[in-house]
Amino acid sequence: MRRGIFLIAVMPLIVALLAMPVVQATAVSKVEASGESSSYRNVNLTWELASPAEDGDGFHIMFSESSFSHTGNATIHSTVFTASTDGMVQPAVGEWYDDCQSSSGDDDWAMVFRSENGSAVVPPGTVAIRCDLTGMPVGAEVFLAILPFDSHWISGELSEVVGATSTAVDELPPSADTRPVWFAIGSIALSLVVLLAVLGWKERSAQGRSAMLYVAPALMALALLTFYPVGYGIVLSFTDANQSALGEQSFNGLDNYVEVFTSAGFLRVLGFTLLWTVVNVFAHVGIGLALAMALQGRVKGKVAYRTILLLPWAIPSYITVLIWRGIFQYDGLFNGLLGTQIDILGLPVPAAAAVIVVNIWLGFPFMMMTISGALQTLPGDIYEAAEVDGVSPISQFRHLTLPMLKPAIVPVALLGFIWTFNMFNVIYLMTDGGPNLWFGEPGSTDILITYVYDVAFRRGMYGLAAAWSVVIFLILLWFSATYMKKTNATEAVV
Amino acid sequence: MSDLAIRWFAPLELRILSGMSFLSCALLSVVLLFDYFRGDYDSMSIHGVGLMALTVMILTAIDFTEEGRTRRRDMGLMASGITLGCGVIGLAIRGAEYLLVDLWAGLVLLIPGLSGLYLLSTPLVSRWVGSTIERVEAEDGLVRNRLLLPKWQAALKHVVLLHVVAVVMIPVLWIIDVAISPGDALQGGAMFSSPTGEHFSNILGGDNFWVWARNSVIVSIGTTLLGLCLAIPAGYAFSRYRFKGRGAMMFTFLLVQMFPGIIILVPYFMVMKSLGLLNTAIGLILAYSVTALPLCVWMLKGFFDTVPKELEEAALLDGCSQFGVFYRIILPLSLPAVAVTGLFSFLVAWNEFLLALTFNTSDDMFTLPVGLASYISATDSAWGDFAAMSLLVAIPVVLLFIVFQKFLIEGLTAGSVKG
Amino acid sequence: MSGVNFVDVSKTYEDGTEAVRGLELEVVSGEFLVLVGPSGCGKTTTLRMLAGLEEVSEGEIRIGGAKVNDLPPKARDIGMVFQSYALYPHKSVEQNLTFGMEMMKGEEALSSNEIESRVKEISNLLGIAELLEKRPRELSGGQRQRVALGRALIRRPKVLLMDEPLSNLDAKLRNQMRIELRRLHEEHGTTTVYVTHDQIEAMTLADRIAIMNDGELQQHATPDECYNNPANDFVKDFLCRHIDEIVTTANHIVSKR
Ligand SMILES: Nc1ncnc2c1ncn2[C@@H]1O[C@H](COP(=O)(O)OP(=O)(O)OP(=O)(O)O)[C@@H](O)[C@H]1O
Ligand SMILES: [Mg+2]
Repeated sequence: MRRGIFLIAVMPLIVALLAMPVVQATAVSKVEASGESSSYRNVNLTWELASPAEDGDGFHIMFSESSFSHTGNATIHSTVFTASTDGMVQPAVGEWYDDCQSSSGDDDWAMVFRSENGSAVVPPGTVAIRCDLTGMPVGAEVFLAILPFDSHWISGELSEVVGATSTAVDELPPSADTRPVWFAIGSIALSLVVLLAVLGWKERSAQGRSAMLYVAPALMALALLTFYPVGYGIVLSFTDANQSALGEQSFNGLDNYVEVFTSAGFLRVLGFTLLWTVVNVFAHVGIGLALAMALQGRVKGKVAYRTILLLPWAIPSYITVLIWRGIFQYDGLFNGLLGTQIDILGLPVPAAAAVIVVNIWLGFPFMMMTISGALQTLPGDIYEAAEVDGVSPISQFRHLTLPMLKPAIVPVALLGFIWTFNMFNVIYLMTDGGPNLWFGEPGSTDILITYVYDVAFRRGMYGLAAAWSVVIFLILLWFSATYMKKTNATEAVV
Repeated sequence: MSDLAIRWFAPLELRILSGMSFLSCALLSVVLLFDYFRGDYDSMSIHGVGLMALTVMILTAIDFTEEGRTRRRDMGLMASGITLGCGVIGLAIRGAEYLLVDLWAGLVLLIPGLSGLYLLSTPLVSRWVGSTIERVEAEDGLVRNRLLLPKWQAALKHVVLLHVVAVVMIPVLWIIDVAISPGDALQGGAMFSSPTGEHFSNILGGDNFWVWARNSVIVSIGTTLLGLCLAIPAGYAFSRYRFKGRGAMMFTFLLVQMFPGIIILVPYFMVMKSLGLLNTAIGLILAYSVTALPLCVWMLKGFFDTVPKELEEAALLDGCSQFGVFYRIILPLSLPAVAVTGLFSFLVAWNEFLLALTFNTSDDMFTLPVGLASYISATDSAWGDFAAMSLLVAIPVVLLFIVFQKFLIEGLTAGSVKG
Repeated sequence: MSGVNFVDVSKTYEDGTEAVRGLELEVVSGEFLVLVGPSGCGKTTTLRMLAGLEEVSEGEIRIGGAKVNDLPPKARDIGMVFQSYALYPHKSVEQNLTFGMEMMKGEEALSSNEIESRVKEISNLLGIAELLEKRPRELSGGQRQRVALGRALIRRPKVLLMDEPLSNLDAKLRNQMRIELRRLHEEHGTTTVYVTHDQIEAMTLADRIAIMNDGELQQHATPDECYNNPANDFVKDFLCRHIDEIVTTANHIVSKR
């Protein structure tokens, strides 16, 4: 948003500057990329400059999963600026997702500097830069190129486009110490056993004791594989755990949370998540209700209708989502049937509409079935009473059916809210959060959960991801609590 | 008194018309959206006019009070005419090269337009509008309304349902088409024109499918067995025993089910990584059986509740031990229920994507979902093979789901709604 | 004013059951008619046809002289008390009473003042003034019954229909309600059709009774007439002998004391 305003504000300036080219962007003479020697999901990129970089020069690293010839089809992975580096910090390897080094000749590689806002900066006179870029898909070729620009942000020639495939496998760092985990699991199990034993012992009857015995396995499983990870996750959120230093994390206080709330895309991704969830849940309930009403009573071919309408629920969602992706693809069925040529999944608003449509398609059968079940339990005689009272069918629906369905709809709507909030498959498989307008920030269709996945497993920042997860959980918890309170409160009034 | 029939009679044509126009309005909004997508602003304005005419039709047809009948009827007729005209012009604009959607869009306007013109000018409606209707006629009209209205309502209902069915079926038909068409072409212009089994033989002849299927089968069966071992005793205890903490424990099981998976994803991953359980079947089995556990416990509890307690007591009197009762009486009796619960855990494991994607990253440990997804990537997608494999994976699951839908849905809603 | 006529009315359900056959029955305006007969004889079916909840297969039903066969229930100006009461479970007693009137549109619509005064009147009449805020599930059987009656009466219908309204109550309450019903009828004089399978109820409440068996009308006369001049063996058996038995039993008990 701010970027947009900023861009509009500087647009006249840019146009004016374009009209009188003064400086030329430093040309790139050679680009090389390699995915072999690097670490998991990483690709190395090295480029040499035709002339030493001058103050104000900059280089966008352009990135795409398919080959490209102009910048419109690629996103900016990261940017390196040239400036005087006085007073800037020089971070260690592994601290940034785009570790870069620069050389001013003779292979004397040095880490890049970081400005206050985190931009990578190299000193003037640099002749070559190499970067270790993370977040690459494994096993698929990615395409990279350098787009130099000058001190007026005017782009130069796009360099040669090179491809590379990250082949490094995800190895367990040898340093990882499994003992603490075992210790934790062991102690939890032990304390549970003790707890159950005490409970069982305090229980006077033999019945109670055998009950404990029966429940124990399930309870232990739940404790070890749900509660323990949740607790561990909360602990992680206060550490700097990341993929390159597993098991060596140290506490960093609230840093992760600060980063979450100050990160550039936080409000945007939260906003889209809410839009996504609310639209979906309303559509699910609305369509489900309409169809349940339509299938109520005697309808010819009811069984056939029900079976067909159940399909979106019955077919595994990862399959249907991919099918829809094929339909919405540029050369897919949608454009084919309509005779249009829209790159639906490549444009922010259409892509958002598409993922929402697909999720509505996926989710309405569940609501339809639950509402159908609830309709069956409504007393039939009151409709006759209403008929005699002269209440029109629409009013019957509005004043009898709806309020009486409310107790059934309220909990499933909440369940639907939680499910939709966390609907990973649809977004990940349809757009993967894209189109990505800004690298390292959430894409335009990212919801919180897909973004957390990115942070954790593409950028490898487990601590940060855990903090995001906790924030998500708190949002859900807050919402559920208010929702329950609100709906109960209104129920007392009606 | 004797004009009761006249007072309460309104020709059913009006009801039909308002229903029809209402439906057409809804569909026309979609047409307008499509026009917008195509950048076809001429059609868009024509269809927009049609939409307005239809709105007028609804408003005029919805209630004819005593006074303005003639005026309303005339407005309705005019609106029908305009609607019809818009439909014709809309079709004409597309010319010879119209597509299926154009035809559909045309029908959305033509049908209510024509019906409006016809229905509003029938003799009965004319006489009714002119308030010159006889009592006998009104009485006959009431009978006719009673007999015909349900049929018309059913017809409209079927039109709505068929549209939904079309939206549901299009992806399904399309994927079948892609699976049996040569190459990876997507647009499916001529459906089912040149069927080929090449994709199926690719899939069945290659290794991937079998390896992934084996992984999925191992994981799903493991999950089912482990899940049942944990859930059956717990469900039984919740159903039969009253003990301290029972309510709290049952509530916990419900609550956990509402936990979003994401909060445990990252720590889960780290725990699994530390334990060396990434890229193994065991890691997934453990994770899945716990994911499905709460619902399974609730489902089983519900089923056990339906087994009469007297049976057990009789067996106890006969000298059976507590465990003997459970093993010999309860389990055999609730075998069908256990089977359904097992099926449920199986399906959970069979369809799960996120954990499988994060835990098992090497392609010989992929489960079917992750494997399938790997066919589709931004750079090159083997749509034909993907489609063929999708069908192979989905058909058994869908059949199981449909056959057992009643039980699965009952169990699911029992667990989720009884909050 | 608003008498009811059944002219050769028959009802055949879709599954072929002949529930009512050739019914000829006249309910005079202001009369309290009780429809009585053994279970399954077609009483409810008759009542539901009159209410417009069930189609008439053959014949004609007239209310106030006008044929109503194909009129919707709301056009017939009737009130109905269901056997199950059919109160709206999510609405308070007051809302149950007013719902029908609030939904009226156009020229029939009532002002809120009018609705309020009617609620006051009817709730005082039926003794449910203290219950107005409660929900149906918080009421006793007798209270529910009164609310159902109030809902039927409040619109001031021309004809009041009741389908075994007392069958869910205990004997004492039933007696008491019977007296009240009779009193109400005397006050309002609404044409009433009352269905029961209880002979005593029929005898005590009715101006005239109509005895049905197996879908056919057996006798239609005042209670005295039916008892003293039974039209056929069925009436003799169903009504006279039943009452005689009760009387004998009562005498027997009294003489033993
Ligand atoms: N919807 C229906 N479809 C088919 N048959 C029906 C239907 N409703 C009632 N019947 C049949 O019609 C006959 C008359 O039923 P009705 O309900 O009128 O009896 P009733 O006199 O009210 O009996 P009760 O005193 O038990 O209420 C019965 O044989 C019944 O089985
Ligand atoms: Mg009955």
